[in-house]
Amino acid sequence: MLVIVLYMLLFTGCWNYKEINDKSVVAGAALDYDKDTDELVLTVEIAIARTEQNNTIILSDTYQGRGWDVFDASRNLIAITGQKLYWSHTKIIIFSRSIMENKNLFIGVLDWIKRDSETRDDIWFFLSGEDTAAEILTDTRVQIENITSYYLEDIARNEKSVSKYLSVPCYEFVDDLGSKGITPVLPTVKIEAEGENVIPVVYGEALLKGLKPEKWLNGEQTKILLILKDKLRGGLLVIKGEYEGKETVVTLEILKSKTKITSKAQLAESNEITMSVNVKMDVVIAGIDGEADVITKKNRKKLKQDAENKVKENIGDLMSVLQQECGCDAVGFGRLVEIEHPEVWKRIEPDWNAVFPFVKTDVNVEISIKGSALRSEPVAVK
Amino acid sequence: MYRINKKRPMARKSKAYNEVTSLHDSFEKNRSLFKGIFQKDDAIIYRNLDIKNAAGVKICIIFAKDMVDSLELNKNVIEPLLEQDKAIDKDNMLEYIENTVTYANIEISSDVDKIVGSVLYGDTLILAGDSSKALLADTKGFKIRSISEPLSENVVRGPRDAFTESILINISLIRRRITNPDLKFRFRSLGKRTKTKICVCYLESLANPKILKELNKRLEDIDIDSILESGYVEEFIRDSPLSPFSTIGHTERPDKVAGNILEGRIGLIVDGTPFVLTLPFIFMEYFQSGEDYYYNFFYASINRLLRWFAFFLSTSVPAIYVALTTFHQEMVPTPLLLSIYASREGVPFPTIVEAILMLAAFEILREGGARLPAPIGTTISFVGAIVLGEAAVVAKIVSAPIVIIVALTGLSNFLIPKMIGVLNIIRIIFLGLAAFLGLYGYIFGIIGLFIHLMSMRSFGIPYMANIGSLDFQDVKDTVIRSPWWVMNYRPKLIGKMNMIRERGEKNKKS
Repeated sequence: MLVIVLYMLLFTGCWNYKEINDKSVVAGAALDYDKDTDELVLTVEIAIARTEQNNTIILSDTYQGRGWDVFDASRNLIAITGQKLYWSHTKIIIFSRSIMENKNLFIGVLDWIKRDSETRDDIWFFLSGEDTAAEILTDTRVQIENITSYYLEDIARNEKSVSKYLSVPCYEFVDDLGSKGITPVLPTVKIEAEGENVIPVVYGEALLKGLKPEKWLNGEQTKILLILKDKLRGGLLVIKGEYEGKETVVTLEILKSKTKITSKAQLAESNEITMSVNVKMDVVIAGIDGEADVITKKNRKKLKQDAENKVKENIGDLMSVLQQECGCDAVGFGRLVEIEHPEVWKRIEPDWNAVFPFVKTDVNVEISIKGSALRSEPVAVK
Repeated sequence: MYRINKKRPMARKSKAYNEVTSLHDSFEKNRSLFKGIFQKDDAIIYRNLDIKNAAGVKICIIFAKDMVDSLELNKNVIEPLLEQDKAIDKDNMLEYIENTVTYANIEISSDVDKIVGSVLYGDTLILAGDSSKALLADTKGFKIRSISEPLSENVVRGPRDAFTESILINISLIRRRITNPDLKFRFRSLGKRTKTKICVCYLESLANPKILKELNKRLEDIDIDSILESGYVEEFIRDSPLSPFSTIGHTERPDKVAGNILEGRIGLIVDGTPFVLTLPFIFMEYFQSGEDYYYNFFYASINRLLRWFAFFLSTSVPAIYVALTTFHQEMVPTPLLLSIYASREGVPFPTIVEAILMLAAFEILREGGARLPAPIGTTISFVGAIVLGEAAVVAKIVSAPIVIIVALTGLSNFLIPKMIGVLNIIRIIFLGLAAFLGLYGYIFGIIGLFIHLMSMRSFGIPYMANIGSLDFQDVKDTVIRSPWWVMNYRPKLIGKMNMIRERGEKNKKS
């Protein structure tokens, strides 16, 4: 019995008694590459909590450390913060373009995040839209939550009701990176001054080719990308149209969206691949800017038609951007082909980047209008 | 390897009165025998009576004046004997006295040992003539505390009488509830010097004869000179004597004992204490309150679940807190982590020291409060808790969360009051393990606890009986209290002599 207890105590490697206050809680980090010194610049935002007159005040402070890789930099930071950095509560990491362009360094960073036992697999990744990533953390003052990183985390979490960016957690990014049939994307974050506050704003998505940010999609384009990736869970559709001779803008709120993509491959001989994209969407009328009563049976039908056409058109536009402009398979068509036609995939895999721009898409959109919220007719002006 | 054998105290043969085991057939000899036995005890009265019409026949009554009801003694023994006027046959003296003395409970005995015990317990001995037998009249009349409310097991709904220190009253409290000739009371006396009366009571047709036999064997084996409380007996006869968990129950509520007896358990009443033992005792019973059976079953079930939850809280909360904050910070939600971080800022001690300090302070308050007279006791402990907790936090000696943790632990304690001692031990062990090894150590603690509990038995009944059962019949009276109309059977094993509690006919058919 004693032997068992001793074994348990001595050989299980569970000696890690450490008080919370002996560690610095890293809320978020930003990574840059300094070309001049060939060093990685690690900027961490550290959460500081204090009790003042019985109120808990949570603040943050940023520190910068340099090193030849991220681990070295984080160790060098201890000399500045005085305490070991604690990465388990890190929610976001912001990359700059400069570091993503330095391939080995960037892979080292990803490797460290995945390998280290403290860092979590669901850290949200962002790409800085500014020159450096560090300034997102250092130059912003967020009012709602004192800590910029946690503010960004909230933004990432609430993606589904905005639908103008796609939040990417670490595991998904690394998975996509390692897969030929899909190109990873990263949401971009910029700094915007808003009155007295300087806040980080997440908008749009960067498409990656290899590791380089190749093309930037704006919010609307991102929404369409979300539809294609079957990740749209909310958001709005704005339809302009003419009803009963009156110009009217109808805002539709997306309740549910389901996209099913199948690859029709008559691939026996040619390398021609057709992806059939079926989008099914439930929406409600959330706003009518105008006087026309779009709820009548006839107009409703037209509205449905208009909406379907618009979505279809947008998908077509996005596909041309993806295929022609940058050749980034951000939707993951390749992966779908791999799942459905593995034997074809085996053959075309090496040339997928060349094949992708010629993949045809066959888009079907079906929108059903489920209701009109609390009003059954527009506000009348007579 | 030299060992000096220490001289141990040897049992010294006490100057025994029981060299003579039965009475002589001479009046004088008998009288001097008792005078010898009771020498230097001035409370023993020897009263010689001269009876008319029976010249030459000597009668002596011997009693302890502090134990008898002297009014009754005068009226029913001395008066009739002195005032009789019939002629007496010298040879049938005893029979004659038996018919004269107007006491209901009269016994004839020649066993000196028994006579001495009875006299000291308030009986009156009547020696008459040169007979080798004597009469014992039940003249007990000492003062006893009247029946009052149970102090340790109060209920909102349910009977309010509690056992007293008198074994006879206690028996009457049980018999009143089970008026059935099947209910047996077997007396015996324990303690070489105190001759304490103990009484085993059970329902003949329900109690398992094997358990009864084992109990009697264990009682037989007790060799101690004094028994002052049922705790003495409990420690002698219990299983797993080194475990902090008790394997014999105790209660001061007669309804609880009656309920237990009706389930096939055995009650053990010890004279001189209001705490009656019940056995076998299983782990479940810690969580059952007498009140559960009188309240609505939904309410009672919720209360039981609460008690189980309190058991978990009381044993584990400090350990889990220490493990989470010092080993597994990644498991704490970020806002909570930051709030703990804030309150720990400036606190000089490690979390484990804080936890032990505060738990010790709480135990001191509890122990102090328990022994103080009721009116000041509660005030002092609560004021102490608030002042101590509040001031310690403000002075940054301990952090605020630990005060919450300790308060929660302390509150949970009170849901299972009979277990407080056990809970303290488990809590400290878990806390130590968690401080050493984090949740890993805590889980080891839990495994150890379960192994210990599962390996125990109480008089052959598994200690954890019915807890792991998947059969609905078995769990009807465990974590929940099902309504009376579905509890058709008695608990398994304990009531196995006659499982059917209700609806015997209906069950037979189905």
